[in-house]
Order: sequence, then C-alpha cells, then structure tokens
Amino acid sequence: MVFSGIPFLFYYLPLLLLVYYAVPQTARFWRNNVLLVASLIFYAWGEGFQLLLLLLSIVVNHLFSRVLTNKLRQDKAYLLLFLGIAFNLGLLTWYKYSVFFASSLGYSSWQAPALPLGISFFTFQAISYLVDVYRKEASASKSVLETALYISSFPQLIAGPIVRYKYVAEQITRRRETLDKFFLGIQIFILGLAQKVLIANLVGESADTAFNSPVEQLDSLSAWIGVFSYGLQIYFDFAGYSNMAIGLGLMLGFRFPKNFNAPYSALSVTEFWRKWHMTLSEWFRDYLYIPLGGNRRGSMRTIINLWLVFVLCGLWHGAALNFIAWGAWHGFFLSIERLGLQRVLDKLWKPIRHTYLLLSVFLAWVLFRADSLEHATNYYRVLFITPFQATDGTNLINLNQHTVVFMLLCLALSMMRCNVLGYRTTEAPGSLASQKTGAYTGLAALAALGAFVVCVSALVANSFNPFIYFRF
Amino acid sequence: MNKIKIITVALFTIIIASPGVYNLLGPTNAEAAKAAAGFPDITVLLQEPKKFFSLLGEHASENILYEDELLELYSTLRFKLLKSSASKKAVIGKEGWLYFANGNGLRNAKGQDIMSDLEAQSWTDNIQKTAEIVEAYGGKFYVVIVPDKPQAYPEYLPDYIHYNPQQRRANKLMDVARENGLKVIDLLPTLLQNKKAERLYDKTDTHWTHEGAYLAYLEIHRHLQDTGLNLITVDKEHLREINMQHYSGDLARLLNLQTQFQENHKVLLAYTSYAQFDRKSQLLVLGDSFSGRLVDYWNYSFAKTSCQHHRWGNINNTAVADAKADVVLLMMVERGLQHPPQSHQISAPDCF
Repeated sequence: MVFSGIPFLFYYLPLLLLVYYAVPQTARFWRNNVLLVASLIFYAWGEGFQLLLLLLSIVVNHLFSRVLTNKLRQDKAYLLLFLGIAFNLGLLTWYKYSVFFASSLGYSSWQAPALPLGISFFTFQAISYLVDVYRKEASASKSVLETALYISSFPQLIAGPIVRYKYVAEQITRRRETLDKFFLGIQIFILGLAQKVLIANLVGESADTAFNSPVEQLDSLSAWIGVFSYGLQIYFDFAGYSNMAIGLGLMLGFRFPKNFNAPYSALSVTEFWRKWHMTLSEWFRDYLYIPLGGNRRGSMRTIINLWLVFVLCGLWHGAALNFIAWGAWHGFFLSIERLGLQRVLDKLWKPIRHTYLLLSVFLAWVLFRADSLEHATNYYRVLFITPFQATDGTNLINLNQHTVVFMLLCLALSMMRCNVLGYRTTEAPGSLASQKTGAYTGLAALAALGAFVVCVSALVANSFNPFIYFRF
Repeated sequence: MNKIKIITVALFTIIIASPGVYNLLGPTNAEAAKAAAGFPDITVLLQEPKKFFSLLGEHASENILYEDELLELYSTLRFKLLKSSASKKAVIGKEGWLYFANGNGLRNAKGQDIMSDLEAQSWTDNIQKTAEIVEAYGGKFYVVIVPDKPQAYPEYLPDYIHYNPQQRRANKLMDVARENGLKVIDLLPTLLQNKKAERLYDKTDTHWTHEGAYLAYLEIHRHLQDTGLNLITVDKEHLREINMQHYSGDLARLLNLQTQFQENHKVLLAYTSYAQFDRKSQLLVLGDSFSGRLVDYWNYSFAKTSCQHHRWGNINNTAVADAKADVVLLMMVERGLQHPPQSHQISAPDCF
C-alpha cells in the first residue's frame, strides 16, 4: 500500500483515524496498540506472510535490548551488541545481498529470496535501537509492544525517515495529539502528496522514457533531459514521501525528523549530504563514520573512512555494482573537497559552485537510475559523445515550452530553503504554525485542500505510481 | 484561528471518508458495480493475504466517487498548464487535431515501422487464403487499404513528429500483394486529392468523417465496376446532411478533454428508400470500425450487405465461405498492420 494510492487515502487512513481517535487520549497503551495493529496490516497489505519476518525482527531485537539493559560487564555487553547487529545485518544480507554475493562468487544459479519491503529501513532502525540502548542514550522499552511500534510504525516503516530510537522513545509513551499538530500534519501530508503526484510523477515520465529506452535510440539532448528529469523526480518523490510520513506522524501525535533541507541549494557535495536524506546520513555518521574514527585520525584515515561509508551507503541502496559506483562517486567528491577543492570552491562565484554541485550530483544519478553498470556506461557515452540531435532531426524526448518552464520552476522549487509551513522537529513553543496570522492560516488551509483535490484527480488519472525508495 | 483549523480538519476528514461511506451506504448503480471490481472474498485473506489486499486495493480504486469529474479536472489542468495530455493514448497536434498514439500509427507516420519482405509475404499468404475461397465460388475479392489519420492529415501532427511518406508501412504490403495477383485499392491518393474541399477525418476522432467515408465508398465503387456487376452509385442528393455542434470524438474522450476539444461534425444519412434501386448482388465487408460508416451507402448498391470484424488480419474463412457474397472487401486500416496474422480460428462479430 502506498500513501499516494486510493486505498490508503480513502479507506485505510480514515478508518485508522476513526479508530485511533475513538480511544481516549489518556489510554495511551490502547492508542499505541491501535497504531501497532494498523501498522502490521499496512505491512501485510503489501507483503503478506513476510510480516512474520518483521515480527521476528521485532521480538529478537526486543530480547537483545532487554538483556543489554542489565548491568553487564563491558565486554559482554559489547559482544551482545555485536550479536544483535550481526543478526540484523545477517537478515539484510540474506534477503538483499545473497544473490549479489553468490553471483560475484560464481554461483549465478542462486535464487533470490523475495526482498521484504522496507527491510533496509527497519533493519537500520533496529540497529539504532540496540546501539542507543548500549550507549545508554535511551532506555530499552519494557514492553515488546512498544518496541514493535518503534520498528513497525507505518508512516516511516517502508521508506523512512530513519527514526532513531533515542529520538522517538519518549514520544511513544508520552506524546500528545493536538489540533495544532493535526492541522499542520494535514498540510505537510498534502505538500508531500503534491510533491509526489504533481511533480515527481510528471517529470518522471521523461526520465522513464530516457532510461527505459535502448541507448542506441537515445540522442544526447534526450539523455540530458532524462538526467535532469530523474534528478528532479528522485528529489520530489523521496522528499514527498518523507513529508507524507512526517504529516501522518503529526496527525498521530509524533514528530519525526526532517529528511531533506533543499539539497539542490547546496554549494558543494559535502553540503549536499548534510541536506539530502538527512536521517540516513546521520545514521551513517553516528553509527559508522564516527566509530571508525571520523576525521580524528589524520587526513588519509579520514579519506578512507569517507570512501568506506559512501561505498556502503551505495550498497545499502542496492546490491549492484552501479550502486557501489554511485557511492564511490560521492566518496570521491567528498574526499577531494576535503583535500583542498573546498577551499578553491569557497573563493568562486556562487553560481559556479552551484553548477559544480548540480553537475556532480545529477551525473551521479545516472549510476543510480541505470539498470546496470554497463547501462550507465553506455548512457554516459550518449551524454558526452552522441550528437545532440538524431540524424533525422528527431529526438526521443520532446518537451514543449510549457513543460520546460515547469521543469525549471521545479528546479527552483527544489532549491528553496524557506520553511513555509514552519515545521520544527522539537516541541519548542511556537514551533508549529501557531504564530502565523489567521489570514495566512486560512489561505494555507484552503490551498492545501485545493491541492489535495487536484492530487486525487491526478491519482485517478494515473493509478500506478510507486515510490522510488520502495525498492530499497 | 482554531475555527479555521477545526474546519480544515473536518473538511479533510469528510473528503477522505466520503468514498468509503458512499460505497457502504450510497445508492448502487448496478451497471457500474458490475463493471468495477467487487469486494474480495474474505476467505482469501487467510489463504493468500497479499492477494486479498491486492483485490481490496482494486476494489477501492475502481469505486472512487466522482471519478469522471476528477479525470476531467486533471486532464484539463494539465492541458491548460502544460499543453500536454495525461493519457499516452493520444497526442495533441496543431489547431485542435488529435492523433491516436497507441499501436504503430505514429511510428508508421514517421517512417520508423517499415514492413519487411517476410512480413509482407506472410500478410499476403494469409490474405490469399481468403481470396482463394472467394474465387472458388466465383466471387470477387478486393483488399482495401484504409489510411491512418496521420497519413491523410500529416500537416497537423505536432512539430516533433516528422512525417515521412516514403516509408509508409502499407506500401510494401501493397507491392507484394499485387505481385501475387491480389486486387488492392489504396484510398490514400483519393483522400489526399479531395481533402481541401471537405474535412475527411474528424479532428477529435480516430476515424474518417461521413464525407471521408462517402469518398472512400465512391473510390471503391469505381474499382468495383471491373466486376461486371450492375452496381448503382448513391449520389449525395440521396443523403441528408445533419450538422452536429460541440462534437467530441473518441480521441477527445480518451484524453478526458471533451470540453476542450470540440468540433462541428457533419453526418451524411441515407433517407431515400433502397427499394427503388435495382439491387441484386451481395457484399461482405471484412472490416473494423472504419467500415461501419460505409454500410449505409453500400445498401444502395447491394441487395444485402454484411460486415464481419477482423483484428490484425485474422479472418474467419469459414464464415466467408458460408456467406458466398458476390463481392468481398477486406478493409485493412493501416494501424492494424502491426502483427502478421496468427490464426484463422476466431469468432466473427459484425463490425457495426
């Protein structure tokens, strides 16, 4: 089930809200259980009996966390943490990487087990749970139901944001659902839906044409349009999903962390990674980069750590060489920026720095979107070697002026840093949009509801619209 | 301020809850309910939960409230803002002309779908089987090539579609078929010659207009003079002109843009009784939706006209043999020349 689908919007969501709010706010235990059951149904909707795997992960991680809470000797606790992480990574490796590793070792006949939806996300959340408990940054939940809710909560179960346990532990037991939160949640949810349905799906049409066509049919102009379109599609698709998750969280009283902060407005690849898929970057930073020594062990070690983290980040996205190459590409740019390019960039005119960022990130998307490393290599050949226009004067992709203007507007939109809805991830007073005037609030609400109707009309017109990050 | 928030929350809740409530309590449109996916059997849930939820999703998606209005809203917004269509089934050309995009019609117009020698021979072999059956009982058999709209009106195609008349897919078939002794009538030249005087294809429809159909009738009729049968030609004076305003053809409907794409549509209806004409022969048309508009005119020339539908050249030869018509016309629309025919054992519904 996808958030941008008719079954979710018009059946699952209203039914959940009805049952959830029928339970009194004081009965937190029961509200949590309503949410837990709804989350398990949400998962079973798409995955059927794979739900059992999710349940296994919940139970095992809960047991590990309970034992870790005991007063253990340091080495024992460390061993236990190691086993817990090994269990989670083992699960991930079996389902996601076994075919890749088997074929790399020459066992090409190895049959892939069906990849459970969201396994990359809930595995990383479970690891965060164990590490946070081990580091005593959060206390382990006494109830397996609470652990289950943390791991399987449906808004972020399938494609993030990757919510760390210490961030959400208190909210599970002591959050408050308010009118302000619900109101803002609706707006952020609709904003995300519009990003997905009205922008990502539209620009994705050109990207799909370019990347799904045989490269010999591609002309250079169409290939560039494909790259540009995909860069926009993946941003609006994923940011849209994250906003929908945040909006749903708010409707249910949660505050999930932001996942994007206008990443295409960055002026370097280093800055880009502080703004793109922020919860994944933070996860890698806190649970891998820093434990590896971060930047505290000299330049060479820092560079090695960066490369290692980004190659693994690529591998996390997919078990294929093109994803590893995508990670290595980013590792390379981060390394050269750290080795001196950043100092050069700082002296340059901003538009030049911005062009550098867009080119390095957008060209890397070819590796990400291509079916294989070979496909990506051939695509690059078309980008840089094939003539701009086919010999008969025709192009595979033909955009009219209106669509070109629309795409440029989308690019501008992807760079906007302003936070129109005023969402903050903390409970600070005034953090919701309460400080806005009545007229502003009224207009924003009206625009949101209008946009919702338009989004639904687009969904009715194009019912198949899976999220890109569902495959990870 | 709180009032605004309460109203927003209430409106949002009403919008998302209404389809479910309506499906549960609202009046049932029996026909629509029959067409849409029903509520899945609950026993499936225990055996195949994934399948159950998939069926439930289909049920929800196909029972959406105000579906037509929503489709039109999105299509209109997209057309107004981006000048493009939400559906890939048709493309928007110049001056309100629409073209069917499914199938190979546009590739054929661009000259990117040339028929190979092997394909042409396969088509011809298949057609010859029918021709032999007709000739065996003494009937006359003609192959009629009906041009796709982009062939007749390439000037209104969008700029990015470069028309290439040299590489027309039907050319190869016509050459090979004639070499094998089949009588082939290509309607394109006569349509091109006469299109300045009358509009021969609807702007918003895949098919030819009644004028186009009448012109096709005259051209085919001219060739049928070779048969030696005494066939009367129906003059335009026997046809009544009816003008329809705000007509939206099948392509406008495919795009859900009926209000954006409308045109005047002229109908040429037969109003004189056939009885006054001396008609003896029988005609069998093997055709599709293009053929339907000619039947009114054929009724003046033939004592009995019947029409059988064929898809991609798959002809029911048993029915052809049983009909024993004096003249058999195999009308092949260019867009139907996609796949060489596979089988002759098909049902033969009529094409009206």
